[in-house]
Amino acid sequence: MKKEIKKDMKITGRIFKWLVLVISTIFFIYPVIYTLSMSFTSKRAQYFLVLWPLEPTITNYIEAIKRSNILSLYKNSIIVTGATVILVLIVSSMAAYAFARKKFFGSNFFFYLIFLALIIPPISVFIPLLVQLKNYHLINTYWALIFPYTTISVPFATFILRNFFKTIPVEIEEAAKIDGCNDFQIFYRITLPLSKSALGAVTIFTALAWWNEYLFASVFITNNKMQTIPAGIGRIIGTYWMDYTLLSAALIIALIPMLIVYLVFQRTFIKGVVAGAIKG
Amino acid sequence: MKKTILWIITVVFVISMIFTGIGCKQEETTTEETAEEVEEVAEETTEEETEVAEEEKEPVTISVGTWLYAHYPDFWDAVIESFEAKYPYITVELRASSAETYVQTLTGEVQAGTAPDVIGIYAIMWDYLKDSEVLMDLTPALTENNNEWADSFVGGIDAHTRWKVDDGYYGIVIDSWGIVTLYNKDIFTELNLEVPKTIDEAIEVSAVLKENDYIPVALSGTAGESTSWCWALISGLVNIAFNDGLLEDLRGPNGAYSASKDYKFSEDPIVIKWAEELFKLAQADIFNEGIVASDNQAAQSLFYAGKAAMLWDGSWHIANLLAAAPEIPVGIALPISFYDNEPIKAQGAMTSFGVNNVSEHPEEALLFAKYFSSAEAGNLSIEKGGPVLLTAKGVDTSIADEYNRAYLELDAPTFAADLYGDACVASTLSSLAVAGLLDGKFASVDEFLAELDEAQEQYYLGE
Amino acid sequence: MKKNFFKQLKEQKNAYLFILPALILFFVFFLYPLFSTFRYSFLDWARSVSPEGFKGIQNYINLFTKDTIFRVSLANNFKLVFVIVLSQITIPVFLALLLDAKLKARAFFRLIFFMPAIISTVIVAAIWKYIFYPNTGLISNFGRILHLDFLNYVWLADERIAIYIIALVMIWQLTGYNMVIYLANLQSIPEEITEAAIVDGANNWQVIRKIKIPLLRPSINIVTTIMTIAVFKLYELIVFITNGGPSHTTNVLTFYLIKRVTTGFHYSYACAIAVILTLIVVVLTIIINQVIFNKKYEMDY
Repeated sequence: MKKEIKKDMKITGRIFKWLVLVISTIFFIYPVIYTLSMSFTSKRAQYFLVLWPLEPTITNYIEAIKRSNILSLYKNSIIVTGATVILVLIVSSMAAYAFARKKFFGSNFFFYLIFLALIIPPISVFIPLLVQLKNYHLINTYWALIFPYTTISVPFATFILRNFFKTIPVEIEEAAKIDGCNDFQIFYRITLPLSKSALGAVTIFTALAWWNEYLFASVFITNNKMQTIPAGIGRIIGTYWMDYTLLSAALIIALIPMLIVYLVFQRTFIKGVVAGAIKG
Repeated sequence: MKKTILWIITVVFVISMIFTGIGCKQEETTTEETAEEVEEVAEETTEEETEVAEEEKEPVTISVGTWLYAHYPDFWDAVIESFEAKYPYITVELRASSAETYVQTLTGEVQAGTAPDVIGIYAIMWDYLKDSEVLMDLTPALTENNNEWADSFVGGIDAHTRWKVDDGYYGIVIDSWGIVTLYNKDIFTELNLEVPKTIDEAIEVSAVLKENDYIPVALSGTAGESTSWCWALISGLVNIAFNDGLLEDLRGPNGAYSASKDYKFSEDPIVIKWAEELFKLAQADIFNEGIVASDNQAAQSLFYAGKAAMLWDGSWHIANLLAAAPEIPVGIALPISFYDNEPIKAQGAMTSFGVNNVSEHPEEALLFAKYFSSAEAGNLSIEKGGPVLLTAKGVDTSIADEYNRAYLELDAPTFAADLYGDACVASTLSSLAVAGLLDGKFASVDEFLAELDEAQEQYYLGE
Repeated sequence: MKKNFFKQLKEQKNAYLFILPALILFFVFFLYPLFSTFRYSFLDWARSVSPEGFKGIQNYINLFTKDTIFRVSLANNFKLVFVIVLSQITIPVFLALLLDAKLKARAFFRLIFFMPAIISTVIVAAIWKYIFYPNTGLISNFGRILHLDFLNYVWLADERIAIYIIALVMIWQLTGYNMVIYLANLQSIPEEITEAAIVDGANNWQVIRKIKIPLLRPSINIVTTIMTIAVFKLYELIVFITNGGPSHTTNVLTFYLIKRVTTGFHYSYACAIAVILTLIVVVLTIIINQVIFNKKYEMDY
């Protein structure tokens, strides 16, 4: 008797678990599917859409590409995010190396700096940055975004990399030093190659943070041809809000790149995100 | 392997970015197909040396900034195409934004020194643009050749009075807009009603409509439309007293159209009268529920679903509105007047171009401004469903729709003054309160005025 | 001896060189602007191209005593912190526990649940705005089909509900993200502990309650911190879904700040708001980490 009850409870438990998971899946994926369907729906039928595209058509995509500069947004986002990531990796790995291996005062100071940059939202420096960038004549150049993004990411990346570098056995470096390598060579030939996973995590974390950023991107670069994806989409929303079928096509086009990268590099993605969060 | 590919891609793009990033400011002079982008209308620069412009045939690109592209994309595309056909060496780069982001975009550009060659003057930015000295004095261009350009405007050079500072004209009027009453012809025929022209008529008609389970008027509140509409009616107050100095009062240092900190809604007799009329309207309960939260699309969908008999909106939306619901026979009429129960006598708000003071291609920008304000462009506008009216003489209005024709029959010199001030600070501040008033939130005119004062005070906390 | 000393100096020089780029960037593009924000908030800067004089703490006084919208924004931020943090220390934990057991399906569900986090917030906002659209949005259409008329409501126009809809969208976006953190934490719990407990006679539920959840403490700490910061960074959702909401009721600090800048050009006032925002975030973070979770920072050794 008891065994049967236990078995029933177990089955109910399992059904319950699966139900929750299925409902959650629907919840998390439905909005995207809805937008996807909407992008294939005709203008007349858009008001009745629930799941399956009514009167399927691809004119929305054609119009979206023709009327807005969606495809050039890709290029700009790649440039900005790519340059930011590279710059962050270079600058922060160098700084991390110094903090990991060298003794000099300022370590605690450095710690509080990191704390600041992690916590303080970018909007706190927004207005002066606008003034500064204008004075440096960087507005409407890619640097207007690359420099602020890099600056905000560097402290955290440095922290992660420093912790990682510390786990590299000092003996290897001592051996190299005896062989006559200077600091830079040690850094370049030994430390970096051993840190591939940490560098990968930093890459993912940084790229994800800035690929989707909107506030700076929409204000520091206003030239339509140079805007990144979020800024461009913001503009497209403002221009085409009356035409949701076209807008949804634009939205889908905009979210595809990151989606593909995510699907292809899943494992690295999640590892990078977790590493970033936990170390912080 | 995957990682290597990613690295390679990143490096390649960084390199390309370096090459394009450094020179990106100069990229503006490379040609771009205008059909792809939303065009922005920039101010037009008027330059004196038109002869020089014709001789130099090296390719030039001018940028034009506007917020109006989305309203009339076909028209804009056509005008630019036709302009480029006329001047093959000039390419127009249109920088279009939505109305909400235009102010932000243009401000950033002015501060960075990258404002377009031809700048669309958004009324609420007029003071800012004036003070930042980014606008060029257009008087020489207007008056050369015996006022050739100036005379091509209905009303002559006075058409641009709104943009006059001291003795110079810093902007030229391009087109004129108005608020409209859109009505469902079927409903009106069915109930044998006539489109209202005054407040009392509006209330009467609404009573009949309500008896038949229609929402008399749909109005949106979130995008400031109700404000535009209702604030614009202040100009109706100027109707009769048009030459009586009331307009000067409105525009004076302590008037409603000024951005003065000392201005007080509740002490302005013009506003008090306006509030009383609005209150009458509000009490008749003729609007859809929840104006405060209805945006344009919500109000329009009520109209298109056949639930609302009238839609009060701006003429800048007409093309989009007509395209969105061809099944309903839509009539367009002049708005109701708020003054002494007489039909409206005047209306008009202008959009205009100014020319960038530090433009690299002022002559070409000027050419664009001249072309855009010409009768040729005006006819193109009507043909392509463009803005209501252009200010150029010689526009063939015989094919204009009923609204345009009615508009043309108004006798007040509508272009000579910006009768709306709809983008003035006071109108923006009153936006929410007006929507609330029409929603029936206030028990008396005094409460409404107090709310207006409150909004004013809140705003000026920041100054 | 001399050789050593110079060598040490040389090494130190290298260290400074290595740090230099980071330091320069940090000072120029972060510390200096941060200080500038603070400075500007005391100056008189509105409408003009640069500040014009000293204003003292007038901005702050105005903000706290007279500014009604500021109060609404502040209240909304705190309301959201409460709702979001509460939801993110329960729902994702629950999901993580569910997925902790299953091996095969875990990757699939993790993939789906995490996905909303990689979509740009602007896009998320546009998607959800139309879902809640009256008459023609997804929810309204559901209402029509299922004959549940109450679903056809002006959700985003209801002053009381609108902010919670924003919360809902945030939950949609972030639950997967936090779940992944919890999951990683759970998976790092050594099997021996749970096995020992089961051997001792504990059933599943007790294992969860007494072992796993307490061991989740670090990630709950992290999630709370991250979520609090995220709420104060909230901007795009407000702009694109409610634009401040039915009469200012969904204003949040960031949104109000930018509004002041773009309509009105009240720069110093906006800087004052920024300063207050920064202080709140820093103080809250310290409170969360030190007081609630008693986290001791590891100093350099």
